[in-house]
Amino acid sequence: MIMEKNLEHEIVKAFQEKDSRQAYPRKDRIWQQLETNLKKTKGTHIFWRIAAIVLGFFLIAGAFAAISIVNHQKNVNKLLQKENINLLQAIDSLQNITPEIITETKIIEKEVPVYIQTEIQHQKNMPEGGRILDLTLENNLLKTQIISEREELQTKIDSISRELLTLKTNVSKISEPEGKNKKTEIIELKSEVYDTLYQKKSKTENPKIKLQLFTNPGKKEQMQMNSNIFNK
Amino acid sequence: MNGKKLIENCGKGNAKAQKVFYYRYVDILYATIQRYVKDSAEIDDILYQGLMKIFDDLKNFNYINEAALVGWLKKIVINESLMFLRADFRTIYKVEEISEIDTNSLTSDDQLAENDLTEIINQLPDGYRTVFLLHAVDGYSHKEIAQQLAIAEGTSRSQYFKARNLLQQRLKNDYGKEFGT
Repeated sequence: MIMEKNLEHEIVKAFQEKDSRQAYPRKDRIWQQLETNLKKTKGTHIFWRIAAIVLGFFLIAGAFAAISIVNHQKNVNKLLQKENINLLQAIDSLQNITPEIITETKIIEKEVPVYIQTEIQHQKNMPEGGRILDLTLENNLLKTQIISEREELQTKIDSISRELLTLKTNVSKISEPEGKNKKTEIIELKSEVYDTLYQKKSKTENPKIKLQLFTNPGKKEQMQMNSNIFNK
Repeated sequence: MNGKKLIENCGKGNAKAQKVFYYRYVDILYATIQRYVKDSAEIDDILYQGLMKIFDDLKNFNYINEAALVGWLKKIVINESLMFLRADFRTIYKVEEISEIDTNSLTSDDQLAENDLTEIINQLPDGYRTVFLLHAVDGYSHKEIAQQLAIAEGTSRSQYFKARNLLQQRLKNDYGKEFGT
């Protein structure tokens, strides 16, 4: 029963009494749901706890590593600074040394090419390559000519040397006191040989040279001829 | 198991302690939510969410006495209920006039029982009822109500006094009872 009392007070009292009589009808069903969810959250809590521990460990390890790296770098920097100072001192000392001046004279020979201007007009107009080719060809031709001439001369020298040898042997034989017949025979042969050889030679090499015979009353005629030829 | 030990074990995640805690306080929490929310499915949702929050925050709760614990638990579920209702409050406060309260279900022998009084309050529109219950029954100040419901403090006051005057008028008309202020 409610008498004349404060409304709020009566209402509070009424609700308190009502609350005390209230019973939640689905409490078991809600508890089952709640229990499964709490287990799940518990699992996740454990997982995150482990994860946080691991993460913390890594963070601490990282911090230590960073500190050690920084210290190492500081030491390296100090060493480098010391080395730098030493090098700067060395540079200063080197800069203070007066330099020695050594004079060296070098004689350089230079080949100065001399270009000869040829008179042929078309050669001037020719390109340099063509001119060089022509010159080399001409040079080769001259070389072959020289070689052939040299060979010819060599054969002549050889034949002369052979003749000289035979002459020497003949002279030695003449000088020997044995038999007069033999001596005369050799001189005759020799004169024949010389006649043919030098007459021919004079004709080919120098046509201006003429065979001249000088008479000497004291000696034999043939011997004088030989001596004149050699003198020439 | 005393309250402090129970709270400690629940905070540590002890399943048995949590079960004991649940069955000890679930009825009080249910009754508190029922004052603000009428739909049973909605009550279940709010209760479930509220209990999850309670179990999550129990490890941080400093147990002083049973009344403080119950007050803390009620506050959590009331907040959950208000969060649930907040979306509808804009429409609720558009209602300018309070509809007629059906007094046919009340006791007829000119006597007003506790149940009848709660029934009259329950027949109030949601906005008026919430403000009236928060202030008169659960002891919230108008400032707190304004913060909780995201309304102006003046609105909370006016809503409360309108609801109170209406209740007084009904009780006087129907039962000839006058309540002092």
